[in-house]
Amino acid sequence: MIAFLGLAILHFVGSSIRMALTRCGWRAAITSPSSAWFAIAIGYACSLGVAGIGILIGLAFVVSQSAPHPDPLPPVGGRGRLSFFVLIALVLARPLVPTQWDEFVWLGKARFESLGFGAGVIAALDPAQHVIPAGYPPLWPAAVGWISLGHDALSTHVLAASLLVLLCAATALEIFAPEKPRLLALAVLASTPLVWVHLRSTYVDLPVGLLGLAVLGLLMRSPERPPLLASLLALVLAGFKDEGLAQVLAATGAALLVHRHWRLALPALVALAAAATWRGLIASHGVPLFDHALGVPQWGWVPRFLQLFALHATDLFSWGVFWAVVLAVLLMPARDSAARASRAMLLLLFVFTAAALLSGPERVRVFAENGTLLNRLLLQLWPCAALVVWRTLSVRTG
Amino acid sequence: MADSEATSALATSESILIDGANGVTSAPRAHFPQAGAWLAAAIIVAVVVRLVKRPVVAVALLAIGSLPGLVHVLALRADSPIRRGALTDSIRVTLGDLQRRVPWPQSQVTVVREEDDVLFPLGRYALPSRTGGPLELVIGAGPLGQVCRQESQRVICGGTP
Repeated sequence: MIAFLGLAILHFVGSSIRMALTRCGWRAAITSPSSAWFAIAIGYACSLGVAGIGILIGLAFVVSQSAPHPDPLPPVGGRGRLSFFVLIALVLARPLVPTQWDEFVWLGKARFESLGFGAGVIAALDPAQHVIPAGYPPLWPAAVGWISLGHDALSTHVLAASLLVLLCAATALEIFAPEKPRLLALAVLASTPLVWVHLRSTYVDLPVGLLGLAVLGLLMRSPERPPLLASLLALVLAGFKDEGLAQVLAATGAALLVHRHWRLALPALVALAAAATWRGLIASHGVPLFDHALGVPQWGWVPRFLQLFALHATDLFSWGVFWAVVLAVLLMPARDSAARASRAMLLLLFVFTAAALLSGPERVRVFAENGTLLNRLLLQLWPCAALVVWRTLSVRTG
Repeated sequence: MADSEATSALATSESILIDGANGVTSAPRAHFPQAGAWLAAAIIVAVVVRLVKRPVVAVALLAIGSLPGLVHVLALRADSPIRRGALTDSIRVTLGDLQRRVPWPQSQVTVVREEDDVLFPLGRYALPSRTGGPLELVIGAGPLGQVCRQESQRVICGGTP
């Protein structure tokens, strides 16, 4: 129950910050699931210590560019609320113990926050403490620790992480909830079994994809002055995972393709600044970076990559026929700018994924070969792909 | 159920811990033994959806295609709603015992050996940081559901791989 209280406190603090920065109403802020990100994003910058000051200054600039427009907060109707309740039941219907490999590792890192605010960052920057995986952005486990309110108990951490997954899903749902047809969206969402598994997991792959999708939705909704929330989500994405930066860049590139306003690049700049700050910190502290170091592309591995990609995407048990439908839909014409943007983002994400695998260290290709990586990378692409399918088919249903 | 389906199910606690997030079944780890059939099905679906262009057809194909995987998620996997009791019990037993013997951050522990097996992630949760100390910890291979043993200043969890 402590985790519920922790999320409520974060949400209350985030709503207050949102009101102050965007001049939106109290009711709008408190009823919006995404308000919690205001507290989490600023908490992340603060947890980085002196290095986080640069990020806060950058955010202040973003606020100055976003000020005249309050964050768009469309009211969520009755069916939208029902969707939230279904989502809550799906995500929280899991045992309160970790059951999958990386859940233990992520939640182990969340335990550091029981030693004090920012202790996870300090431990991650101390090579003598042998925290693994070394050099990874620290926000996901830190945020789990914050929601746990420093209560170091297994069930509390699992519930806190599940609530964080729920927050990511609710944020994407909030931004796309007003769009129709919802029944078609539900059919697309329900058709991928591996997503059911990850909705009840605390891995960060699906959440990163969902928040990336939310950034695209925010950029497309208000292209001349993207809402502050888009930049805060970009900061959070860069703090969650290196692939989060790829999500922000893909969303930005896609939005710029259809709306050419320079302010659309603001979230990407925030994410780049956050990623550079973290990379600078780990470099200055001598923390080794094994998994996400980039090197010379292994072009000779391209045919094998495409083969592995096809094998994973057509895995009937994990994906059903989802990716086959995505391929078919991509061959149909895009009827509007939103559809073009979502397709562009999916294509960019695919390119970034391929680039990371080709240019990464040998071990990432070994992981791809032994079946422990590619499905999780596909999960990061899944929210955007689901949007592509939904948009294209919904146009055809009229 | 076909033999190939039965062998690919993640039906044990250990298989869920190692591969539960990597796929609905063990197919990725087993290098996709049914890849030919799945690829053919995917091509047929893509062609049908592209040619027919009726959303209802795409939705129907999506629903039908998801059924085999959903059977695993809802019934066959060890973490399915009807089977997960044994999984959670086995993890609670082993992890609870490990945390009792080497409480973090109070205990000063040196991890002298750590197998890349099912107990490895439990060890990372129990001891997220490793600063060394007089107490020694050996984390061997599985299975889950067993407790550790102590020999003098050495805690030994799991067996040999």
